[in-house]
Amino acid sequence: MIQYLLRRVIWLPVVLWAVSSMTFLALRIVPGNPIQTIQNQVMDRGQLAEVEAVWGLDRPISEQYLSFISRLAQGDLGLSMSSGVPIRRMIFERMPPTIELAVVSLVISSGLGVLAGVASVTIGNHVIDFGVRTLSILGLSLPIFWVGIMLIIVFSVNLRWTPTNGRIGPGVDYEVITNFMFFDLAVTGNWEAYRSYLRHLILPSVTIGLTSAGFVARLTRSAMLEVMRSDYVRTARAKGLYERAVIWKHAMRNALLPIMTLQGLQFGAILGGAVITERVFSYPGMGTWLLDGILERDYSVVQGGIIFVALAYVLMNMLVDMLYHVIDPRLRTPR
Amino acid sequence: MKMFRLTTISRLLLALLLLLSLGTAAAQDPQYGGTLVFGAESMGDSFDIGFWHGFGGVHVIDSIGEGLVRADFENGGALPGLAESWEISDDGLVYTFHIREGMTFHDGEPVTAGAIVRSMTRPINPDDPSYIEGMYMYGNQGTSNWESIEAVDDHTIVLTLMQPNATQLLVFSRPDGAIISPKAMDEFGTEVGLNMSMAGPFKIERFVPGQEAVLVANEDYWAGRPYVDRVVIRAFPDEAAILAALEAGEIDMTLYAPFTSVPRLQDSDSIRVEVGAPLVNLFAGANVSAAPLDNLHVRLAVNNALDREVLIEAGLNGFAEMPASLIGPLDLGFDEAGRAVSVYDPDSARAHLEASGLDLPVPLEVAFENNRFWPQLAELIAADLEAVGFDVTLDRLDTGSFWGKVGDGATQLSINQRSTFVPDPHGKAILMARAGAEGSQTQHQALEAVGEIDALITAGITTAVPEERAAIYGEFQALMLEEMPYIYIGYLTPPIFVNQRVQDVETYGTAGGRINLRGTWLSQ
Amino acid sequence: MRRERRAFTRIGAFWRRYDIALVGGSVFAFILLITIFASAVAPFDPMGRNIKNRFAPPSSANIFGTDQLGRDVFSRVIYGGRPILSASFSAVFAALALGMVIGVAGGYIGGPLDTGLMRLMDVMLSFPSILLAILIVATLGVGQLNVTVAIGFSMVPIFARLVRSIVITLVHEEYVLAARSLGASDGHTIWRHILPNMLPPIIVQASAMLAVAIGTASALNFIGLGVEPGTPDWGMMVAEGQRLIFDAPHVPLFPGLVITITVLSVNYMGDGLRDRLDPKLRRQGA
Repeated sequence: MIQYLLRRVIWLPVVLWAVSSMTFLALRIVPGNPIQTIQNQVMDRGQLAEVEAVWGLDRPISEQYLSFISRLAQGDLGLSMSSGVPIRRMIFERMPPTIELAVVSLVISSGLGVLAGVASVTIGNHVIDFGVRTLSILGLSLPIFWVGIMLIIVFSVNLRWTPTNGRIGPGVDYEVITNFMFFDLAVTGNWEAYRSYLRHLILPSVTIGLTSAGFVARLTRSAMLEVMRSDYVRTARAKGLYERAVIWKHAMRNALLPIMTLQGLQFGAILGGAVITERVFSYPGMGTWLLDGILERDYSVVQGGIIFVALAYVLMNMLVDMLYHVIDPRLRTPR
Repeated sequence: MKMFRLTTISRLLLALLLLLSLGTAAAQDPQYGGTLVFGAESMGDSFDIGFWHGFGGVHVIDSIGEGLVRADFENGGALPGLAESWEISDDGLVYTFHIREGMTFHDGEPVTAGAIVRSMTRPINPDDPSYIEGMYMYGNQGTSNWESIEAVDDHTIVLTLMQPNATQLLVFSRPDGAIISPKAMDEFGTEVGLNMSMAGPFKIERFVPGQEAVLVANEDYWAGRPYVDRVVIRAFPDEAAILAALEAGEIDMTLYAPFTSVPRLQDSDSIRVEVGAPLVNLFAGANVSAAPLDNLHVRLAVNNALDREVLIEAGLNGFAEMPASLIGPLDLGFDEAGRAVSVYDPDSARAHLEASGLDLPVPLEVAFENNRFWPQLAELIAADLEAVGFDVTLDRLDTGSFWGKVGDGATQLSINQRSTFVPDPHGKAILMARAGAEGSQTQHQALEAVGEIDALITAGITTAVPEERAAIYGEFQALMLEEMPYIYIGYLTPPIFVNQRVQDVETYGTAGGRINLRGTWLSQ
Repeated sequence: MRRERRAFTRIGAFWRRYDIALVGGSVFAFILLITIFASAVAPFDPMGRNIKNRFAPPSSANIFGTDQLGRDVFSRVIYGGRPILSASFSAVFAALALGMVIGVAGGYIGGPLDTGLMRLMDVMLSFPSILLAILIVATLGVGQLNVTVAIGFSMVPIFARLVRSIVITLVHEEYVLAARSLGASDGHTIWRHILPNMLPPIIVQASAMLAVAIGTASALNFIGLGVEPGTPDWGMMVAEGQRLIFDAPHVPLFPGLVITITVLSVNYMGDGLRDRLDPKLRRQGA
């Protein structure tokens, strides 16, 4: 186990290097560069040339790459080209909101998905089964911007239960410590802000939760079916074991593996890819930040942001893999 | 024709409604108090004026900041700002500014000539603790043309230029011309953009990057505190979301809701729509250095092919005026005559295409950005062009790719816009000044009249007398219509969505993205 | 009670195995037919503008109403399946093929190859897929093929990891171990024992991924990177219509509905297919 972990940790810098190099290269291949996006707004062309030199854009790509990698190795992510703010600082602003969104969404999707998946198999009623499957496919296929705006129309515009946008109400005052609001607001005892924060988190996390619960439900269902048909469950049943115990002990344990893999992937996907949900709900997270970075060709934002997303993703998957080993004894035996 | 009349009538009705609402508003005296929530399309990560980008950031800087002068978007020219008066020497080289006495920055620091000079020289002083390499937006302040700038005493600044620059005064009204407190520059250094302290009508109470800025009225503002207590400028990147927030009563004012919802909102009890001034010019830029648009006849054919009435009605929901030339109707030297040239005349378009000597249909690429109303406009433009004998390929690009391709000269026709950021025609004329410059927007060096155009642009900023400048820009417009490097679509008159409780909305600067909330108030 | 339940289950099984697959299959066949013979079915030119008749609500003339340029929404829906369906299907098939090769190679052979492949998948996965798609489309340009590449590319690691996890479980199954110990060649083992057992979950996953592909295609349109403006395409119609949801809901609603029906029918078909192919079910002789 420790050996395995060590192996993964050794791989970590390699993966990060590969991801950052890929990002660097992709940004140079995409047409348009940071200077071209601003050149129409800056009248003095001489100063524009100076800025280009500051950003190193006048040098050959190989040189730019070397300086990027060597600075990265020292942990220097540089300044945003479009706003002059250190990337470090921007990560602090943008990553916590998205992590919060990802965690709550995954809790919702896991809860809903497992419940629906188990229900559709164990209740044995094909109508429920059919309903669960239909709803889960719906969740997968409905474009997320569509689900988001529908929820806004129903719950915010018509019922006025939840706010339409943002991480917290307009002008609400609070103290930032870690920028994880669930923590900061509790530590400072700012319960009024806490309520506002939770109310704002509902719709975006439900939007992501609903759309990805479909996956979990399907996975749970098929894993359960598989297990229920397997020999040992049939044996257990034949032995007269109480059915629920059989399901939980054997079936869930088996279903857990693919679900964990899936949710690990989803977590990574939400971290950098909740672009659309964040956009629809005007949520100040990594997704909108990275998208704007790409559209404005802010090289340092995209390079720095993607490294952090990748890091979080890899760590999350290491965690999942570790849990794998704990849950599935078959994988423990070395091959 | 019928369509247009309908629009005109609806416009008149709209104006009438506006007058009525203004009439009722005028019956009341402005009230103090309340929080106004403004919906912006974005909110940046910093308010450093050397890096400002995105309208959310501009709105904040315009509300908290003030430069030596303010811009008069309605009548053109400069209004007093931190400088209560100024003199310009006859040769146009020496500017003497008299700074108002008794003003303070938001952090309590007194506004002195020395403080202002320090802020103005920040981009050229690498020793300043707040200096950051690559502050590109200061490239609009004209610093490279400054011979010297000094605070003669606490209330007098003398700026000496190397060459006369007729736009120098007005660029001080730009967001990048706002003055920063020296105390903030010392205290926060390179992170001053996250802790801006200026001398404008509002001050920042809190800033959540990417989300919102909360501003409070500055009790010590030199022209008196604004009416509203607080302004929250909040980001809404999605158009449907901003509409939802408007309907849910979460925002009071925005420029960024979809135009298509105007007819319905116009009738609602809670929301009203005001019409902005024509400060944004929509056009198609021609790459004159490459086939087929290097052929003047082809450019003239494009000009006559565009059915602006339909474009404005269907593409912009009627929110634009018919175009004339590169210079806008509120700009110095605007020439009405262009409206007779920028017209729909399909027969003439076909004749020009015949005369071009090219085989029909003429292949043509139309590039445009993939947001807002651009795709729909592009689609309509393509239909118009195909109707007269072009074979159009639409090139839908993200923001970065669009500017990259335009900069590389890899586009043919590119649909685009130019706003009036300061009320001076030079801001639009300069689009042509890049002739021959590396990475120039549309490779104008290929134009026969390139020398003449360059000379006119230089004359436009080196001449001080407004009447003479007007004549120069008149000539410039005539040349533009003759050479047709740009084909004009219309002057946008954007709808401004406001909650009924919002009174006295400034519709001039706002139309160009420079909101001014000093005189706006909320009826309770 | 028990007998009743068994009867219920049997009906359920029958329903599952035949009817849903049949219903799904025929609905999907119907949609495909209409899409293929769109020109014969559509009452109007899908590109035909009528500026005077913008945003007309559904009526007998335009049963789905008209859009922002006065085009017939019904005709556009009829034509609109072509780009999005072909892009999504080809993306999923390509990703599936590549993902299967990688997953089987890694899971079956194991060792350094497995580690290397999985780290490569990590690199691909840790790059947010929607951002990757945006970069790809921004580089290659807007267009159906490029959208296909963008969607497909981001799905490869998902299939690869899924296949690998199944293969890893399967190689430990008794019958596979038995086959290998009896000296069956790797090719034979994979072909005979791994593949058939892998197929059912893969089919389910693939039909689900089709739903995701269609969603991603719509999302790309929403960000402005999809097909050319004006092209009748369900994803584009939903994405562009989103801002009209308050003012002319019929414009985005009908294409959205058709997307949903299509995805549902494909998935029912996939479920039915899986049940038929599942060797365990066959072994049970059910």
